[in-house]
Amino acid sequence: MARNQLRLDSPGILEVLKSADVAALVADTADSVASNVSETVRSGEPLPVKVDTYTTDRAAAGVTLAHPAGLGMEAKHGTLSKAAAAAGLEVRSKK
Amino acid sequence: MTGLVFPDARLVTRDVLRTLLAARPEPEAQGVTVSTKPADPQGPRPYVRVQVDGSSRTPRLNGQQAVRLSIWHRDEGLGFALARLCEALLLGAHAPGVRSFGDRTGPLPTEDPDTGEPLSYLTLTARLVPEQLD
Repeated sequence: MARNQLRLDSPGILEVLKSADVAALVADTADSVASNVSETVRSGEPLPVKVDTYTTDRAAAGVTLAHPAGLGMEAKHGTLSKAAAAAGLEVRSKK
Repeated sequence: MTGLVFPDARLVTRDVLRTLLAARPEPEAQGVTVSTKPADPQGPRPYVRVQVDGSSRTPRLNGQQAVRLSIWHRDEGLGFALARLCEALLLGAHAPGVRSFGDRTGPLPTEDPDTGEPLSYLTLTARLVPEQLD
């Protein structure tokens, strides 16, 4: 039986991961996470959420609860984790 | 074909923690309440609330849930110490319904955004044992 060989095109994969199309997908997902945050702070104003897009070896994005009470909201309600899960993401610790 | 369901990680974690913490001598664990219900600002301390942030399953036997422990205590040091104790106990726990717990985030100290009380939290992955439907 003939054996097929698979050779990964690593430079090509990196090029795809940095491409505008992938960057747009990542940004859309980050926006989706941010829009799932619906809590308000003690003053009654919406909890501000900040989305940053950037590139490392691939397109990436960060979502931040941009308020002094943000960490407390995450601790008490899991605000960001639940917003990410609602967008279909799995939250893992960064090893 | 027979279906499979996974247990509620909140209830499994609550019951395991109640049992393990009741046997601990550390001062931060004395008089602790473990519950899935929201903490009453006027209620007893220490208080550990168990929640689930999300869940996932893969075909067919692997199911897991992200478990959140929010820990209120009389002061920040005791609260953080209790959070570390809960993490240590759960990472080594064997209990019905759960294969194992894995670390995820924290423990981290902060404060309750509504009351300013000391609040610490951590999250864990609960890897669950499936139950076969009759």
